[in-house]
Amino acid sequence: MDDNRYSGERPRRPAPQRRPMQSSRTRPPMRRRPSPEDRMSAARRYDREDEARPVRRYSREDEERPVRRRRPPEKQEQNAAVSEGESVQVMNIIVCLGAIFLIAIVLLVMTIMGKREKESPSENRKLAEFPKFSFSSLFEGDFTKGISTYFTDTIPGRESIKRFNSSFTECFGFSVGDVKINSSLKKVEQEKFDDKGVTTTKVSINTAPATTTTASETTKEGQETDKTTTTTTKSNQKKEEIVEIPENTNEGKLLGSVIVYGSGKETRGLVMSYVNFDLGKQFADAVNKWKEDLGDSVNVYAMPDPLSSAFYMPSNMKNMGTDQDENIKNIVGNLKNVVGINCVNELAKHMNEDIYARTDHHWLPLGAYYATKVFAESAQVDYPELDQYTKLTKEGFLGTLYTYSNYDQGIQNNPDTFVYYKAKNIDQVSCTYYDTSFNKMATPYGTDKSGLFYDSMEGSNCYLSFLGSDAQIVEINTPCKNNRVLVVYKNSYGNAMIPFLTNSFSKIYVCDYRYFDINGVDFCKKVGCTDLLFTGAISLICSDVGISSINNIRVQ
Amino acid sequence: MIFADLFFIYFFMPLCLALYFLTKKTVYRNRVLIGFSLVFYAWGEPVWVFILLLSSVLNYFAALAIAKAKQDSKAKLLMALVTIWDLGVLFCFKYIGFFVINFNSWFGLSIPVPKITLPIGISFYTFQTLSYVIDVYRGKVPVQKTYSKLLLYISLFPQLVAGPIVRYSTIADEIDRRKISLKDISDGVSRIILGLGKKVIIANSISTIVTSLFGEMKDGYEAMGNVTVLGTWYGAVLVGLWYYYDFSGYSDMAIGMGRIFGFHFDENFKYPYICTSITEFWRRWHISLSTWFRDYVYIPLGGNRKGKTRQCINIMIVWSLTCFWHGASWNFMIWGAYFGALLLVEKLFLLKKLERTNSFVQHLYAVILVAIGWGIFYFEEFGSLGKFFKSLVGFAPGGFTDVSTNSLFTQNIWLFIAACALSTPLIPKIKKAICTSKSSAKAFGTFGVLCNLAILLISSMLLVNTTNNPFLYFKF
Repeated sequence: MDDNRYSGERPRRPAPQRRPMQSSRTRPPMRRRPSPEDRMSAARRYDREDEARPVRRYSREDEERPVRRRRPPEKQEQNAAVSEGESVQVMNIIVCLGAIFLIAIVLLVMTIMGKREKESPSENRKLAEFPKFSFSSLFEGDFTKGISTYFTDTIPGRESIKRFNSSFTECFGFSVGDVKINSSLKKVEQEKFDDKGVTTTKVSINTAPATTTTASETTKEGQETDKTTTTTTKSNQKKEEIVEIPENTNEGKLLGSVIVYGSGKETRGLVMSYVNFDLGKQFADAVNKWKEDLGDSVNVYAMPDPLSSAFYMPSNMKNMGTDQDENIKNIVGNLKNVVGINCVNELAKHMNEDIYARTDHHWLPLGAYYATKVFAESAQVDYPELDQYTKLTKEGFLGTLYTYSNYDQGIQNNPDTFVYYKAKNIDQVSCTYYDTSFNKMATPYGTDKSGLFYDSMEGSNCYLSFLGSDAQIVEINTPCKNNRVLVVYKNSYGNAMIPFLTNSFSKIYVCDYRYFDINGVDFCKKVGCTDLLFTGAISLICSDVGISSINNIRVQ
Repeated sequence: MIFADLFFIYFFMPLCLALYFLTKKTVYRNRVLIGFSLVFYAWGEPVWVFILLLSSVLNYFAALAIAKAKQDSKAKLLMALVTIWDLGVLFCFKYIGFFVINFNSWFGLSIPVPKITLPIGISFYTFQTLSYVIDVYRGKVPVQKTYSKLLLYISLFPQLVAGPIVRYSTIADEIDRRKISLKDISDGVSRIILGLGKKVIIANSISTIVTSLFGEMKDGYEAMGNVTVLGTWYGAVLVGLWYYYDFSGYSDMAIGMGRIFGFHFDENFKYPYICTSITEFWRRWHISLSTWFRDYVYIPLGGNRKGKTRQCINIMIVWSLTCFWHGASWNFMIWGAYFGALLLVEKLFLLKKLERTNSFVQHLYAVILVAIGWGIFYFEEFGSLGKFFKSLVGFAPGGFTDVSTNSLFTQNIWLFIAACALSTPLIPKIKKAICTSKSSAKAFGTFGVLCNLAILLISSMLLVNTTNNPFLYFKF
């Protein structure tokens, strides 16, 4: 048997006829003929043809003759140095291969035991799951790709490894002044929306109730019914005083992928939006198609929510990210028969209140309250004043911007106070959770009696205090008797709005467009939707991913 | 599957190594390698793996028949047929879309453009199989009578998808008989880790800077809208470094893995950026490709033996083929013409003049022209390529420099310096200087082991951030 693995085949001297380049055209190179030196030492060398011979120890002399055949010139030069010796080679093999095998075994065991990571708190997403096998996914390559993605995405200790990575890449250089450019930041061209060129179409709101109140149980798919109730039509466009957003003279600095400015309780992190007019138009077109599919009986609203950077951007960073107000105007201008909702002005009126988290990329419930008010007015539904809500407070809300800023101390030392509001008639609200295919009920974890609030969420998870995680369809029955059924396709910004709508619609279906596995138009018809709202952080809902999701779930 | 991937490093490779070394006989080891190679390829191309198998069967029988026919007209015919098949497959997958699009635009036709995804590595393994059949035809290598051994040569996963383009003659012996020494394994492991580090630590980091400076194909090179003069030059140099570390990193991993299994591939890169002329650059860059073209195109065409004019024509033919090999896109054509023209000028008179200047001037000349070449290679769209050239000569939309360019420079200054330094034979020189005695060599070696471990761990951690991270040369 051949046990030649460590057999210490003697490194040969460079045999001239084995030089690679000339060989193929100058002489037949195939079988290596022994050179004179080879023949000389043939007696004592371990014959490569003879595989049955026992292992010969790798001798000291062998190390002294370090040049292998077919070395490029540089390598020969390099090997002119004294070889490191067998003991170092063994050490190298044991250490490096040992590390690879050890990590491989640990990962394998952890996979088998199900100890892989499942969620990423800092990226606020569910990590990849092990792909389901099917022949079609195998032949399309999705299955194998899924395994590779799963393997990398769910590495245990992901969060701390990412923290290490950011401090490692910090070492690549130094920053002059406070400016720091991160690869996720892009230079942008600022576009200005010209509302003179656009004829604002008035969209009328159909305030008729849903045809069936127990829609989800009884309505058949695709059932269209004639409205018998008279519909009141009112323009949803009204003149409003424009609030000027004051200039923020703070010096902002770029940390990680976010801008940070201020000190103490004024420290604020900002995430930029890169939505441009082109993306905005694509988003508007995507929503327009829903309106075409759903027809007049359903009011469709598009409400891209501004990020805090729309209000608090320090003036030295003004050109980072695109102007969100202009982009929302552009989106609204491109909508056809869809009600566009721009809440920038309403939020600007309340800029000095705590409407956005300083340490998280989300808005705070108070901001969501003011923004939702704009929506409620457009939809012509009741919207109780804030005093109709019980105020609850959680301290120590340190959100995602801590991670995004590469763990900035200023952010860490000044967490937000998280204030949220529960309607006083919350005990008349009930929620049912479904999976993303609307097939079976899902059990939420740790909700209050209504099912809407997760009071136990703390620290970095404060924003999950309503509706919990995103990957569910939530059906909410409310005390409101107007028989209107609202379907919301949202990202996490939408979660904060829902608690303020429990007195505005009889029924609300909250769906996350990122995790929705069935046809959305059929779904709307099935549940008797009268009002369909697309809402979410503008930077996500108007991104390529957001737009393609909205297009996909309409036709999937 | 790709090498710079946690699944490969911590599942596929250890499993393959374990099974390989648990089997003792070369015959069985070859079976292990074939099995893993096919899984490796099918991982990314579950359907096109059958094209690979079909191609290997056809080439196997063709070579047998050619060897039997011994140089007569039948051999010629067979040779022609098999070449047509091999290049035809490559053409269908790689170029047909491009040709249809261009035909449509030239002649106002509307032939539907077939949507074919390029099977990874097809350019590489097609050239490998071709070289085998041609060598058999020329009688330079004995024909391989066992199909599985030929399949092993064609599908061997270390070099399957992104080179180096290994000649059959290089590893023909080792398919049957190979010995693996301690040094082979040790050097192989070091080489794999070195390649991984080149790709993950250096190339990936540089690529993010380039994207910040230039934008990328999928965003329409957005950042070119306000690029600066300094930024353009910096970016062009970075693109060169990026391609070098990306591709040579892959070659290192391939060579290292081959070595652990007992195969000795030829070097693919020899510190290309220490070149003093463009001619020398191409002797040091992607050597397996340039020698392939030299041996199978340039020399058969007559090389330099048929006079200056013929030589110039031959150079231009080889260069149009080289650029065409890189991809069906007009910028590759320009890139090929650029280097073809430079090589011609050097051949005709410039080399002699250069030799009279000092080495610094030569080096500067070569590096600047190569950097411009990589700029052409990077921009797949003409508008941005135009902006690139304008900015190079001073007409940049963002002015000479700006805050963002400066920050990108200072924030990555150590990375940049390290990348430049390591693209020269600095470490071999240091090693030579230090390792003068046994004990110092041992100390240096021990330090090297620690470096290996650090590079391995850092690269692995950096890989956690990227869920998709293909090697550049995959598209070829």
